[in-house]
Amino acid sequence: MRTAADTSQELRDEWKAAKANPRFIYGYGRYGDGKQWTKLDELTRGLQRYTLAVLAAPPKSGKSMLAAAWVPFIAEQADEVGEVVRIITLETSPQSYQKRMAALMAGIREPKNIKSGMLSVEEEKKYLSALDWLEELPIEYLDNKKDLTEEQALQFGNSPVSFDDMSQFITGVLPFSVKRGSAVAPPPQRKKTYWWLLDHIGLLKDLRGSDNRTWVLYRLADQLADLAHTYATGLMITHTNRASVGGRPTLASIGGADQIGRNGDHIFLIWRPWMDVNDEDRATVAGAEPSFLIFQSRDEGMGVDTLIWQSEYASYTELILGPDVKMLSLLPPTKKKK
Amino acid sequence: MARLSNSSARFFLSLVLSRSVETSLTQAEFAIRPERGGFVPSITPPTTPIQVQSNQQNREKVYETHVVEGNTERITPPKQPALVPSLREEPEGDEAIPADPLEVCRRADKNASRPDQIAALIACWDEAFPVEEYPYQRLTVATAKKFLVNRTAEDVGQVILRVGALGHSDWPRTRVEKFLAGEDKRGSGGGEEEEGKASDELKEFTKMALEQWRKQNENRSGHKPGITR
Repeated sequence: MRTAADTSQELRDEWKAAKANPRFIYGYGRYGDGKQWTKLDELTRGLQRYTLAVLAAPPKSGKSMLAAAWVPFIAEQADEVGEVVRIITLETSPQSYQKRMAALMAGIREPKNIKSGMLSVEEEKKYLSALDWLEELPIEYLDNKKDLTEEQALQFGNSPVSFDDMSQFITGVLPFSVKRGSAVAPPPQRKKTYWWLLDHIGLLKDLRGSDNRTWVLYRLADQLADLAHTYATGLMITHTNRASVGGRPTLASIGGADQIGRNGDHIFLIWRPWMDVNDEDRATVAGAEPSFLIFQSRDEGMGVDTLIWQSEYASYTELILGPDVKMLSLLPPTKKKK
Repeated sequence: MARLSNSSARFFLSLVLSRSVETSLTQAEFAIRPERGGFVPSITPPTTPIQVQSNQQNREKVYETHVVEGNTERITPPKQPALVPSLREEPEGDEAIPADPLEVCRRADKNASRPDQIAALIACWDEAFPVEEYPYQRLTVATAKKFLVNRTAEDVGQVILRVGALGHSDWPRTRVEKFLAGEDKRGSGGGEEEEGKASDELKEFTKMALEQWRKQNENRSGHKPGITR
């Protein structure tokens, strides 16, 4: 049991520490490196301790690519403190995942050219250099052992990995050790999880053959929140359904169970308005497609990060807009915490 | 001779009395395992098409439908549109079933037969969205009927095939509905506005955003996505 007196003392200590070291990004880490993903860091105030973030978008919107772009930056910070980034990749194998990250880092145009051996000399150099760099980073994978097709990735529970498996992978302790508010210490020799990523919740084995999928999703959402709140901050990827406001995804669009949205301390929703228009119009943004990352949080307010999706690179990049650019009226207003 | 305890004796006796795999020693009195049908109602056998002939003039094929977690479309239909007698029978000469699903649509329109039109649309759908690729997104009779309200089978079939040719879609039905709505607007002289057209606001925003994007890239001297080191 925690009393008001204990909590007040903790808050006093937190304030003293913050006052002694005032800074704009007050999280324990960042999504970027201070040069990239700066707007995102500004919105979120960085990675916050013991929080569950949810990244949601329709299938084939580039959710995994967006998260993969953050991983190297976060892993570098984990390395500095002797901790590990743990990735539960249920849609792709670790090879595919790491190749994706290396391709993003190297800026490979047409990443499929890696498999076909058709990279330019310059690209090859960058790609191999990215692989070398990733090799040094403290990243561990728990995976599905194989790459899923698009259809397979949409089938609930289509992986051999259960929540207990991922919990053990993240915490280093046996399943059932994660109880609300009480952590069981991992073995001392095991490196602590700095940040974890689940890609994606719908593939967890727990959902396989379930008669009541909504109930299982509710339970998983609670367990994932417990895991994040008790052991380490993490990001969970999930699909959205067709419910939206003027095409823009909202919390109600998060597929399966609204508990997922409710349990997330930070919610990221990808909105690609050009995906909904006809093919003729979409062709005008084939090279670079403006998109949005809508951020909502209990404590850090809300806001919008503008992204550019480049299909030939299969990557998102942050776009810092000038004050003269009028944002779309459909976007939620940005409310910053005072 | 070694003596058995009472519980051991009961255990071995239960083995002797076991008659089938349905016997479970873990449950009371050789109860049949629930998952084998002992305590639960038997599972409904797989659905098969059921032909309902209400009368001679209006013969219609009705399928049992499944509700698959938010997907109200029916389970994989038989591949052939051979549900309507006029198509299922093997006519001769000019009456032979054409290979082109659009031709099937035209004939169905010509015959003014709603069941033929529905079967023709299902044939178009099967061609545009093959069952192997879209196992859960099949065209139901109800949806086909909805598509046919104030439209000919040929018009709808053309749209289905056109949407199928655009590439994979996670929600083909929605896409077809959008295209049909767009066709309706054009047909009724509903102006230049087309369903799924980018709004002026989005176009204006995109123009300015891409301008800034180009500037941002110039400042980074050709920087590509990735880590700058």
